[in-house]
Parts: sequence; structure tokens; C-alpha cells
Amino acid sequence: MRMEKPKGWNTTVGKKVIMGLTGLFLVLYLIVHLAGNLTVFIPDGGRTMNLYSHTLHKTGPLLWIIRILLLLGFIYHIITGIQVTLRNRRARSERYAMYASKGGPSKMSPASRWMIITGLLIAVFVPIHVNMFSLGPYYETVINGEPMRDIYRLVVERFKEPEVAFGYAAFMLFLCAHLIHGIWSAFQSLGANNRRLMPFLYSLGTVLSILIAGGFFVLPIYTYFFIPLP
Amino acid sequence: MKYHLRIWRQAGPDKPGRFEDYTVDNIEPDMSFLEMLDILNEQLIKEGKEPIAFDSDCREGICGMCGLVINGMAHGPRRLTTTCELRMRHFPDGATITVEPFRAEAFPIIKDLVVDRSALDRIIAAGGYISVNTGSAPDANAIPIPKHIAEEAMDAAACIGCGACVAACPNASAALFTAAKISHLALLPQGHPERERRVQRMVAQMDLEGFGNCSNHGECEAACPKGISILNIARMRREFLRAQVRGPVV
Repeated sequence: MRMEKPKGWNTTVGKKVIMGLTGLFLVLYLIVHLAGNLTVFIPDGGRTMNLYSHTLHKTGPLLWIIRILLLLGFIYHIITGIQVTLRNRRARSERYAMYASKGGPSKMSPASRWMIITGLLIAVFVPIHVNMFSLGPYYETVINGEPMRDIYRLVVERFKEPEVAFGYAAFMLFLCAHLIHGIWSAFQSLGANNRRLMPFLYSLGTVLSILIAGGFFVLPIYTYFFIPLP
Repeated sequence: MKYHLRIWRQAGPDKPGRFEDYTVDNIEPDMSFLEMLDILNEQLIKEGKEPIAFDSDCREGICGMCGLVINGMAHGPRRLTTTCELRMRHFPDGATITVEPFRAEAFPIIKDLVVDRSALDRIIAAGGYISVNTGSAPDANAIPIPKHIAEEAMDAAACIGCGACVAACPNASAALFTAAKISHLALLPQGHPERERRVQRMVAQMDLEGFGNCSNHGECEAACPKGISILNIARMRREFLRAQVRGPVV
């Protein structure tokens, strides 16, 4: 396989740096997003959640800058991920009849092998998700004399539909698998790893994945069973 | 001991290959895997058949010439072991063993189990050296190097270039090989003057050869007969980022 001499960010090393940077940026967003969502657990009929959402929307241009950055990061992460996977397939066209791991220090797992599958599943989930909530029906409520969007009502309404609640939760399992390999791997791809950091980063990746995906997993199920419709 | 072997046979680079079954008997437990293949080849020659082509040289685990994928694992099932050091006692009597060549687009098959690994040599030629005027050897401790740095450089320099990392990687990536070669020079003061140029050229050559991306699976480290750590790959990426910021783009 002959090709043009790659340079800078187009090299295999450069592309993985892009994967790592965009990946960590998206993880950072997930943490903020989850923190906001957890307000659903506050039993005040959605007051905190709606106020939080309203405050976010009041930032106006800043919110749009973040949205555009997120969209770019998301798309760049997907495109680069697909390019990386295609190259990897080309690099071994004749497969092994038998392929096994020696274990030991290997970090290979179904999570690491199926990054493209879990990644593409998340890529399908996100537009559906945004369309359902951010672009969903606009309910209005008045808090402290100020009219604002009743996003809480929309969330609870949707999660009262079993296919939405359990479908959403199922996708969070794919997210968990993606993050378990993705988080520590991002640091490794950015070169931010050494003998002392390695065990810490690997544990951090696993714990964060379970906390983030776990949070998003519990949310719809808890809402389905325990939160009354407003 | 007796073994049933399923071995990849391929007459030439562009010829179709297939598995063929063989049986060898009277194998001593202390024989190496390659000695077992030698016996099989003698048997084949006596029968007037074409012997199986495979690579080997030093047969003591230091030259990097041997390399087979045995039961799906580069250099066989034992960790920190080259194919030539693998003993037949590690396989139960009567076992069926599958033997394949290292598979990667960048390692074209020459014949049977022999692959062309000169892609690795071209990566070295692209920058895996330091430019010095030759002359008499410098004094041993003329440049002070802390012990732990010297050890780490030596660990990376232990790479024998066998290509097991490529064979074991699900993506056929040569990241561990290239990283080991970049690391042992980047760690030492003698390697510093050319570090930016080195990483850029070696990474570019690695990509040009058609190796895959490193997805941080870590299979390379598990298969490496010298136990070279994937932390060297992290160092290669630091060197790369450093070169992107400061160095010449070549």
C-alpha cells in the first residue's frame, strides 16, 4: 500500500492526538451535562432544573460558541475515528485464521476492540436525543414571575414512555464501554502518560466511565418509576 | 511427543496461500519450536516434498529474525519469549498447533512463513540514528547520564526489531517498534539535537509503509519478547507534539 508521505496532523500519531483532544473535550461536556441533569432528582417539581436551563440560555452568544465547538468536536471525532478504523482494516487485509491475546500487560478488551461500533451507536443516539429534548415541544412555566421553558416537564413526559426510558438507558451501556477504553486511551494518545501515571489514569478512566454512564443510565429509569408527571 | 501441525503454505509473494496439515513424531520436550520445524522439514525432504520456509538466525532470542504466529499469538503462547526460545514442552503431547506468518500489508509474504520486514529498516533509515563524526570511541562517562535515564533508554533499546508488535496488533501498527527506537535516542543527550526531525521523519515513514494506527490495545507489549512498554508510545507522541510546536516540518 503506497500513499503520499503524511505530515503533521495527518499522520497516524497526529490523528490519534485529534481523537484524544476531541474525546476529552466531549467527556468534559458530558460531566457538565450530567451535573445539570442530576437536578431532576431534586424533588421541587423541576424548579431547579428549569432555572438552571434558563440561566444557561441567558448566556446567549457564549452558549452558541459552546454549541458550535461541541458540534465541531463531535463531527471531527467521528470523521477521524472512521478514517482511523478504515486505515486499520487496510493494514491487515488477510486476517489471521487464529488470533489470541497473551494477556499480561495487554489492555485489549471488547471495549477497546469495539470502539467504532459503540462510537457509531452514540453518533446515532445524539441527534435523536437533541431532537427529542432541545428541539422538542416548548412548554412554558413561570418561576419567580419570569416566564421560561419547562424543560423538566418535557424530560419527565418523555421518560414516562417505557421505550424512551429503557432505550435511552441501553445506549448508556454503549457509552460506558466507549469511555472505559476512551478516557485512559485519550491521555495515552496525547502522550500524557508515564510509569507513575499509568495505574492512576487507567483507574480514573474506569471510574469516570461508570460514574458518567451510570448517572445517565439511572436518570431515565428513576424518572420512569419514581417521578410523577408535573 | 507427537504433534499435528496446521501450517500456512504459500509458494510466493503473489501466489495464493492455504493451510496444510502435517504430523511430526519423536519430538523431545526440550526441543525448540524451530528444531521441531527442522525435523518436519527433514521429513518433508526425505519424502521428496518442498520444505517449509521460515526465518531464523541466532536461535538464542537476540537477533529478531525468527517470528511465527503460533496458535494466534506472535512468538507463541509464552510471554517474553521468541519463537526460537519456545520449547515444545509448552505444548501438550498430541496437540494440534496452527502456524501462520506475521500478517500485515507492510510485511508482504515472501514464501510460506517468511515475511519481508524491511519496512522496519526503512523506518530506522528515516531517522533512527544520531549523526556523529566517526573516530575513536568517546570516554565512557564523558557525558553524565542519570542511572534511571540510562536504564529507561536501555529498556527501549532492547528492541530486536522482530516485528511481533506489528503481528500482534489488531491494527498491524508499528507504533511500539517506532516508539522504542525514538525513545532510546530521545532519552539520551546524544539524541537531543535531532529529536524533532527524527520523530517527524520516522512517523512519516511508518505511515508510508502502510502500518495501522495505534489504538492503545497494548497487545504489542504483551507479545514483545523484550517486554517493551507502551509507555514508549506515549513518549513518541510527546516527541511528536514537541516537534509540531518547535521543530521543522519535514
